[in-house]
Amino acid sequence: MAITQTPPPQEDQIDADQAIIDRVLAGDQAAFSTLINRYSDPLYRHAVGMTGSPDDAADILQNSFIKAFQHLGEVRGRFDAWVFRIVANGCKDWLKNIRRTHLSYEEDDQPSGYENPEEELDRGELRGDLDQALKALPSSLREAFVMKHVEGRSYEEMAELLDTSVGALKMRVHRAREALQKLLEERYL
Amino acid sequence: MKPENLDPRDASPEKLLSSKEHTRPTPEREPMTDREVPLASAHTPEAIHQWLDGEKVNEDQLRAADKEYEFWRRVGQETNRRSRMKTPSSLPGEIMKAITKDK
Repeated sequence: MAITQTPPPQEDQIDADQAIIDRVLAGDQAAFSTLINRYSDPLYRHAVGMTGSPDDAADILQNSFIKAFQHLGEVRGRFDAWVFRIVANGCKDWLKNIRRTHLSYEEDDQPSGYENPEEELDRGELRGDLDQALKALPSSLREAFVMKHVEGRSYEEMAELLDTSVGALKMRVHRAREALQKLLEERYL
Repeated sequence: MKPENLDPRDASPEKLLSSKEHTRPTPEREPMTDREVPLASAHTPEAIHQWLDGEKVNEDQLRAADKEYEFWRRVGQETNRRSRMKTPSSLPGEIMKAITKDK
């Protein structure tokens, strides 16, 4: 499955983040861009995985980083874990909202965000079907599947970020796989 | 867009008591994400879960689940592709612009 693992930041990375936070709080706003550049890719992947929409994912990310900036003085511990929770909550709010308003979007109208044109051309039917199947999952299962298989996080890292046990997350990922297999098996198995 | 606050604990007691909306949500009205939906699920062999979790797998058991293996290998190609997605290049600049404007 996902080849790229998202390594949790090392101790020196956590210290480096804190040093940047101190600079921003002291008035050097521009230093905040270092934190954005450092953590936006995994957070963007999370938001795309949860919403299925690159545009909405970008909006969630923008709002989350603005919120993070406004509350930067409240960071205790790891910045990446703190900002992840802001983005994850933003995604859950989006899901509640989109389901209440029955808003839909045409997946093919969205910019892809893939790295190169070859990948763009190579997208097959499975991509759209997997998106639809992921949307059918309850958000907690979708979140666990995306974190494990798109973001490439370990169960331990997921447990730390979601404040849940490894066992519970394994269960969620397993249930997500079984539900996805059921939804897709007629066509692909 | 900011979603409305659905948490009844945030409403005043008077509002809650007088509200006609203060009824148990029916399945049609309740947000899907807050519902426990009984999910139909397929049987995914344990060897496949172990393989997907990066654990040591018995080769014979994995071979016995060749259809599921092929299915999850294809899903894996798609998730790998997603795992290489990058933030749109303009976004960090837009965020910084919004932050500076807000100040």
